[in-house]
Amino acid sequence: MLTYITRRLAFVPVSLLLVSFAAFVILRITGDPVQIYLDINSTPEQEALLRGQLHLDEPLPIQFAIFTWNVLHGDFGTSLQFSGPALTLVLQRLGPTLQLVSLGLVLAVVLGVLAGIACAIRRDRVTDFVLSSAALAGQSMPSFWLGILLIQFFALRLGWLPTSGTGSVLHLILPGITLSLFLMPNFVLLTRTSVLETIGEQYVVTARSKGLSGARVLFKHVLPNAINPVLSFLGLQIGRLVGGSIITETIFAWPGIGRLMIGSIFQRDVPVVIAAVFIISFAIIVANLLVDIVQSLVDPRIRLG
Amino acid sequence: MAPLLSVRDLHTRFHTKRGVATAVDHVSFDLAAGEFLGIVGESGSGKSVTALSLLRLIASPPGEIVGGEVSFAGQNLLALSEGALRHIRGNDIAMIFQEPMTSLNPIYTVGDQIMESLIQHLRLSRRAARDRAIELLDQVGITSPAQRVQEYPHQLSGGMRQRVMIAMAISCNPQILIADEPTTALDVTIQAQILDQLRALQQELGLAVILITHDLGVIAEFVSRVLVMYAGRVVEESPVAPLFAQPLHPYAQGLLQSIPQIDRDMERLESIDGVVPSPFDMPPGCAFAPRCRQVMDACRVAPPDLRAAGPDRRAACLRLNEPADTAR
Repeated sequence: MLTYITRRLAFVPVSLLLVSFAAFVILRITGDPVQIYLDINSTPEQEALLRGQLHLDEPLPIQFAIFTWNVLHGDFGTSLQFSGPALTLVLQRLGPTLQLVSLGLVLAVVLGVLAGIACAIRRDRVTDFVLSSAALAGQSMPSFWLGILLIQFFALRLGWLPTSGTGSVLHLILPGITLSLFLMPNFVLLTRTSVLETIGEQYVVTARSKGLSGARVLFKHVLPNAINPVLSFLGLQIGRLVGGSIITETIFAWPGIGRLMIGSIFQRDVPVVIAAVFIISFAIIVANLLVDIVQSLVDPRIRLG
Repeated sequence: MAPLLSVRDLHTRFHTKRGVATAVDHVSFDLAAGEFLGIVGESGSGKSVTALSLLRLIASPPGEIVGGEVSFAGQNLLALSEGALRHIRGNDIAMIFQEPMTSLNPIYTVGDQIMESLIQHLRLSRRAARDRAIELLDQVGITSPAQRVQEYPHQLSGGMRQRVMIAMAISCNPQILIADEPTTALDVTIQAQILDQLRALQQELGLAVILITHDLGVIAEFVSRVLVMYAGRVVEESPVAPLFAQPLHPYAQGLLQSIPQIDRDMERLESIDGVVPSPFDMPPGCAFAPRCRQVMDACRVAPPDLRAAGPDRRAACLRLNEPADTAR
């Protein structure tokens, strides 16, 4: 188990290096940061000086090597639109994003899985029909539209919750719900399928033939086996979660990494974009590693296989 | 002596998109204490559904036990509450299944799975249950049981897993063990070991065993009495020796003729013409009539009932009254 985790951890720097390389190359070949850095009255001498400072006159591989070396020392460069180190800026925005993402994810997974289980054990009855239909409808609803609907109803018509921005727990509710509703339908439908599939397994008949109660069969024999596909899916969904979070942060003016990144892309603020991509990738990699560890704890075939 | 288990008119059907399929059609039989009973039939003959119906383990929906009675210890298992039935499942009547690969839960150690029954029915402490699980593994012939008890199913071979299933089944000293094709998925050499193990336990513990199989060789060697099933019905019931010497029902005759004989010179192996009728489209009369070489007009009217034919023998064939030699 420990060697497995160590082996996985050894790959983390490799993944991060590849991600930063991709982001670096894309940003370098799509525009010249010097034009944005300096204003319109800059002299060629100033440009040349800055080009030298940013090593933009070197070939791309050398630039990347210098960049990597700096990153290893925690230096992603200085933001072009704000003064200050890019990494510090990104890390300041990490807190709000983590709040939003964890609320959205917890709601989506907990409620989605419970609803999926309810559908499976009440298969083809009213509960199943209502929840499955709602999940299908939710799956086909774009999250930005859903967010706007929620703002219109709860913030504008009822006036219960703030429309956007930050400041109190109340501000977190609408964006959190929007993000969770964006993810939840998939969890409902996947859990339903997975539980139904597991109920048909031979070892479930064995468990019933031993005289165990229905609840014990469900919680001890069906659900632990049914949860692994859901966990795998959760790992895959974390990338989608980041995408959903960028949209949600933009709609609700939530001061998170997603909005910072979108703004920086428009401003061609290369150091901030790369720092944000780097931190997001790191979070996705760690989250996937956690999912794998939980899965191997649940299933001995992964742990010992 | 009253039978240990008595099944009367058991009727199980499945509701599917194609319609209603009758899987078990008014099956009746008795099982005496300590008896080794075989149920033989081909795939789809209803033998496994019969076994699962006894403990109401049919998935419902789509399955439904429509009627009948399963009497055990003065109670009708089909009318019992779910809670009362749970005290019988695994405790008085235990089951093992065809696929040892999939019958054990992959995420628990075999020890945990055996202990679960012991804790459930005998209220043993975890420690006592663990000691007992090791004893049971030893009893079913698993070497170094103290180590195996903490292994997971995927670490064991198919034969060992089936031994674990047997250990689990006998853990609460049941009176009846239902074995549904327990060796079909195993190698021939392992098959014999498992069946020998079952027979040894049956004699040692005084278990009554219902062995379900499609293998007539297994029937001949291990069981004392046989039910032959065809298309959801019992077509012949007989002690094992007379069945092999002189089968009464044309289906049983066909089955026995299709066994290759080492001492007889044969051009080609006999087989039964035609196929088993679809459960959605049963003939109105005897289900075997479309394939029967001795069919009469009367056979196509109504399914014949089981009728007595000699000591301890019954068969469901209208030709029973005729002299036996014309039936060969």
